[in-house]
Amino acid sequence: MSNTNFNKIAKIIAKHTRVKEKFITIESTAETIERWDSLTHVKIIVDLEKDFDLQINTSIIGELNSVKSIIQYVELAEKNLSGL
Amino acid sequence: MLFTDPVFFFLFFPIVILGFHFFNFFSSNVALLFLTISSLIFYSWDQPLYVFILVYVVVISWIMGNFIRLSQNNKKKIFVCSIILILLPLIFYKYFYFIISNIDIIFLSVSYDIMPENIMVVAKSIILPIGISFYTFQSISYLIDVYTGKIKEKNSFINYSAYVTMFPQLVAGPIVRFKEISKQLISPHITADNIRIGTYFFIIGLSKKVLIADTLAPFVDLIFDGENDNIQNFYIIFIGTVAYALQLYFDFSGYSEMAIGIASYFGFKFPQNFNSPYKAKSLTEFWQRWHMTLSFWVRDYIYFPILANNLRRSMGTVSKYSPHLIAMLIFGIWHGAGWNFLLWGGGHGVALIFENMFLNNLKSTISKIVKIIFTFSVVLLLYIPFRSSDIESTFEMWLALTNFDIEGLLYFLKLINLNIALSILAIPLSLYLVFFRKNIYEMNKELNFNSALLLSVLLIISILVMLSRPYIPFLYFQF
Repeated sequence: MSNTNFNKIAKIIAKHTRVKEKFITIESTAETIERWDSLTHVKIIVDLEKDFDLQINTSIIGELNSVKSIIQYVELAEKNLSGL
Repeated sequence: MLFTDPVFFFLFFPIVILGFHFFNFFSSNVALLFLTISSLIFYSWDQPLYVFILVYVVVISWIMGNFIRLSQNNKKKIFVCSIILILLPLIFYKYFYFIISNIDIIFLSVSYDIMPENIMVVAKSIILPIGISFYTFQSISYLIDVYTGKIKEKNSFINYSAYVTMFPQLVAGPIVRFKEISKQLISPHITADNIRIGTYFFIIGLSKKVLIADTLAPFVDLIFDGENDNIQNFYIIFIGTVAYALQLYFDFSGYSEMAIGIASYFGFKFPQNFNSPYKAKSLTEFWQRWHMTLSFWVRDYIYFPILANNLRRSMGTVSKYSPHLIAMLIFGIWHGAGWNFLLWGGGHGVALIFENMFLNNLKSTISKIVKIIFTFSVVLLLYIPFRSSDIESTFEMWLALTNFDIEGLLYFLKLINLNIALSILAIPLSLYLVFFRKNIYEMNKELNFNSALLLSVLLIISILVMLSRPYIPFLYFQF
């Protein structure tokens, strides 16, 4: 897991949930962070798309509801892109 | 056929569960085929001809799913076409009369009588096939998942038809996604844990329906269906609405738990449908706890796509919050073809928008109890259009909430009979259970002497009560 990716993701989540970045860990999920509701979740997804230059399929938006799943998705997308 | 029917209890279920596991010993495909045929029998028991609608939805959605999967150039057109084909029966049976009667009203208002009387009469007499809203949405979720690439593999007709038709969830959910069950369908197997959990869920669910929900019913029916203007005051309507909130929860969650329990006996794990919804500290949280499978369906297939599209284009406040309203209006209209359901859904949509815009910043400063009471109050207020027969009754009841006259309360006391009295007595116990006790997912489900005794007593009492009472339908069968 890249620290850079984690930090970028944590910053996005912190921005939209108004939780301090230091409290966001690899184990954080939409259930453990109070303000991470559906509206916040989509805002996070849209910012992830901008920051990582991705286009996230709408069908999996609901599945990216934890720091771990987001990191896995981003790293897989980066691997696929570099493999081209 | 219902889970509380003696025919189901003592004949259908034992035969099907034994037959399923017998055939499964030789071939899972044969077992699934047996389950599908049994489910069609289950469905056609009370409405024989409507089984053809179910078969239509299953066959068309499976065929179109394959066309979508295999298509290179016309994927979107095939997808749109498939959704229209699947929605046709639902639109006809559920919404046709609502649509044409409202068109008629619009044209009549400009003195133009457009609708022939005989069409209106025929449309009004259309009977809703049981479960059609559930299995239609289930099939649509499959088609969307195939279209978006979430389901990539080819699926056998036997597996797919078992998924849609399996009787535990066929008529009132939970709404299961194909990916949640596809691996389970390949090799269903039962363990001692399945039996233990299935037993807990089925008996607790049955008790919730028979012992609590049905006991609350007489009082609720008196308040909402009785023609007693004299009792239209704050006290009676408030208590009546609380009783309805409890009846609806115990009835629907009870049914869901029975469905989950029965599925467990087949070796299938269904998703959770209720998570103590009245303990929610906000409306957002309420919709993560109430009828979860439908709520998440609307969130994933309606709300997320619309909102993501709007936010990507950096649109303004209206575009940011309108998906809440759209999603909840769809939620409302799914429940019924009536303006009162649209009012219920729209009311929740507006309340969610208000909560997101103004109340989220206050969250940490308000105590948990106040948040729960406030959320429950909003839910109660909006249950009035949900339960009322029409818009007119809704507004009459809302207006009556401003009437604090004690005379109506005294008049009501004269209407109390044994059934109404039992209903009222059931309210405090029900409130205690929903606010202070663990739900079935949180409770210890060990099977020891004490728990076995308790479950046996609950089962016997539920059966005896069930057999002694006139049948009270599951509330969600009307949707």
